[in-house]
Amino acid sequence: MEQKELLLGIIQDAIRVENDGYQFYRLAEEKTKDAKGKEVFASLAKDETNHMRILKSLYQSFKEKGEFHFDEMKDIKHLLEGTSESPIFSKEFKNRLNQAHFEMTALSIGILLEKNSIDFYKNSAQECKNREVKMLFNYLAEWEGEHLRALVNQQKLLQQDYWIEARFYPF
Amino acid sequence: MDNKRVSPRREMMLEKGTQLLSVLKQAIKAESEGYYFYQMAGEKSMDPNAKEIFNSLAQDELDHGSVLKGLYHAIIKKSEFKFDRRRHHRSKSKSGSPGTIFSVKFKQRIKQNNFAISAIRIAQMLEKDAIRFYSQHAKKSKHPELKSLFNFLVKWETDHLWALVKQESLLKKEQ
Repeated sequence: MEQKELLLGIIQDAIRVENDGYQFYRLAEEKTKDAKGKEVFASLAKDETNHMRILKSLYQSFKEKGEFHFDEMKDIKHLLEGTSESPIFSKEFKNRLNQAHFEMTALSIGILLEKNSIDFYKNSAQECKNREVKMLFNYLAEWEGEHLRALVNQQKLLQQDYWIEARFYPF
Repeated sequence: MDNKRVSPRREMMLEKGTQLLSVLKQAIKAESEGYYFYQMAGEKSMDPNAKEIFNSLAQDELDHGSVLKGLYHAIIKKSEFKFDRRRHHRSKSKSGSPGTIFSVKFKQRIKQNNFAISAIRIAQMLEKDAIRFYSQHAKKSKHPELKSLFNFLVKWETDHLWALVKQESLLKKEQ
């Protein structure tokens, strides 16, 4: 397959990966009752929309001109700033863990989605010969890595207590 | 040479020592996440076929969780665990038959329904993760009943995965 065709296929897949994240975080935002959780999931959904926007412009640019210039435009560390102790949910959320079935599921699925995105971008960065595209994919992998760390930190903070509170519910 | 064979019961007790309970906890957690995800996908889906299938997938995960919970309690109480494959060999027809998740009408308005496509792709990720987990522990386990249970779950989750992959490919053709 032509390098250009291959690249356009990879970018389309990347847009799908971002869309999955966006759809899921919107659902999580809709479903959680925790105010901070709502805000953070909305912010994660917004990040995925931004990624989609960058990828769509990459797709157009490559399709029409066969080239792309990548500008790093965002400080990707923003998500964890000052929130390392409980990065997704409020501190009070811990007191309602026996009803947190959806939120705990959202953390696990979010982790799975982010791991999947990181693998996808790392593999795609290796596959691509274009320097600018490589840089973009590595940048996106790093950004998704920040999401992953926030989700994992939150899960670690709650997992043990959730198990004790929820036991075998819903089985 | 010592020809003494370790009894299945003893083998199970040995596996208990090698973190079987922790494996089961992880498995129960994964089934619970599958259940909640399919339940949400069913709630959010506008298409009646999709709703029904997502609910059926949720029910499957609920069944898996119950079997695993039974095993967990059997180990805690030090009683024998017997896995009855035939008893759990039910309801695979709906969720396990590929190409039946969405109705024709849904396919016609697929471009407006981004959530359902993402739900199918996320579900594939969950199923793949479960298959990887059960395969790994089916290989590790020395107890025949456990091996049988984990392999059974691998097969069942693979049926789910196959139905979801097939559906995604059908929907891609419609786009």
